[in-house]
Amino acid sequence: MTPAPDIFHRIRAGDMAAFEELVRHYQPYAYSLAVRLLCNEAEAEDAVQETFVRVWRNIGRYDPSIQFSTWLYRIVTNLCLDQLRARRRRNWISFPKENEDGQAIEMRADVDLDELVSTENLVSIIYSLSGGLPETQRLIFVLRDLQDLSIQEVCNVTGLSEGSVKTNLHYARRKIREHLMQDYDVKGAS
Amino acid sequence: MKCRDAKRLMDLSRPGELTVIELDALDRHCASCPACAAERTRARQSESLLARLRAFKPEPRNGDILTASILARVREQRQKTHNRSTAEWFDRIASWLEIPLLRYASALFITVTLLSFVTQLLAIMHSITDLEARLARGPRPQARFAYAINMESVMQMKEAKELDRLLPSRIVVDADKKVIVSSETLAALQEFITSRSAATEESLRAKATIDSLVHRLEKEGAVSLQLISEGETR
Repeated sequence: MTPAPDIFHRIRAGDMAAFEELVRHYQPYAYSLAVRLLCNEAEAEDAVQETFVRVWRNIGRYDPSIQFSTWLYRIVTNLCLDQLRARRRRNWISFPKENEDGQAIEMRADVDLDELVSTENLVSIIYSLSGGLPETQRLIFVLRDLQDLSIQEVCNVTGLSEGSVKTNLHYARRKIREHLMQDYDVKGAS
Repeated sequence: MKCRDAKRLMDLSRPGELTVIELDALDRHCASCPACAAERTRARQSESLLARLRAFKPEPRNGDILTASILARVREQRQKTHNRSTAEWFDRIASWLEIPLLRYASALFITVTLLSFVTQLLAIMHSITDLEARLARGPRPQARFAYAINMESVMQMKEAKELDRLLPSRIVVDADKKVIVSSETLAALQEFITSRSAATEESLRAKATIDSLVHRLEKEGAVSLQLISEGETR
C-alpha cells in the first residue's frame, strides 16, 4: 500500500512510525537496485541502510514535486557508484560465474530461468553480463532493463538527457547481446 | 535507412523507446536486409532473457531484520543529532546558504550588523573619552533632581522647638550625604515655615526651596536633597 501523502510531513516532525512505514514500503525497491548494481548482497544491505539514514537526515530537503522513488533511487545510485569506485580502487574482484555449490552458472536460452535464478545466482548473472560495461552504461542498463524504470525516470535519476540515455542503452545492450551470444548460447536459440 | 542506423534502433526495442516513425523505418529496413533481420531476432531473444531476469525481484535475506537495523541506526543518529544540535544548526545554516538569495541577504545582514556594531563602539569610546575629560576637569555638578537646602537655615529653624520635634525622626542622611525627605516631612516643614509669624530671610529662602520640593514631589513621587555642609555656598 502506498504511504499516505502526509507521510513526509509526519517524518519531518520526527514521527518514527511514519518513517518505519516509509522504510517498509520502499526497502524492497532500494534493495533490488542496490543488489543489481553492486552484485553483492551484504554490500547491498549496507547501502540500503545508509540510504534510509540519509533519507531521514535529509528529508527536510526532499522536494515533494518529484517522485519519492526517484529521489530514493538517486541516493541508492550515488551510494552504489561510490562503493563500486572504492571497490575498483581496492582492485576488489569477486563474482565468479559460479553458484553457491561452486558449479558454473549456465544460462542457456532454453533453460528455465525461474529454476536457475535465485538471488545468489542472479547477482552472478548480472555481474557476468554487465560487469564489463563502463559505469554509465552499466547504471543505465540496470535502471532501465533490470529495475524497469521508464526512460524519463532514468533521466531523472541519472541527470542525463534522453538522447544520452538512449545512446548509452544502445551500446550497453549491444555488448550484453554479444556477451550472451558468446557465453550463453543465445545464438543457437530460435 | 542504413544498417548502422538500423542496429542502433533495434537495440531500443522496448515500449516507449522508439517513435512510430522510427519503428516503421526499422521494419521496412529489416524486411529488405536479411543480416539486420537476423540481428534483430537476436536482439529480441536477448531482451526476452533480460525480461525474465527483470521479473525476478531480489529480496533481502531477512527484510524485517534489515528494517530493524535501519530504524536502530536512525534512532542512534537522532540521539547524536540531539547531542549535536549546535553542529546541526551550523549544517542547516550552511544548507540555507546554498540558496543564492539567502546567501546575499545574510551577507548584507552581517555587513550592516558589523557596521552598526563598529559605529556604536566608536560612539561608546567617544563617550568614555568625553567622560574622562570631564572628570579630569573637576567635580561634576549635582544631579538634576537634587535640591539643596542650606543647613544653616535648617539649624536656625531647628532652634524652634516645633522643628526640633519634626526633623530627627523624619530626615535621613545617606552615605552620599543626600537628605532623603518624606512627603509628610516636607508638608510639615512647609506648614511650619508658613505658620512662622516672624519670617526671616533665611526661613523665606527655606520656604521657597521646600515649595519647589513639594511641587517636584507631586510630579516625581520622591525627591532627595543634597546636604550642604556648613560654610559651603549653594
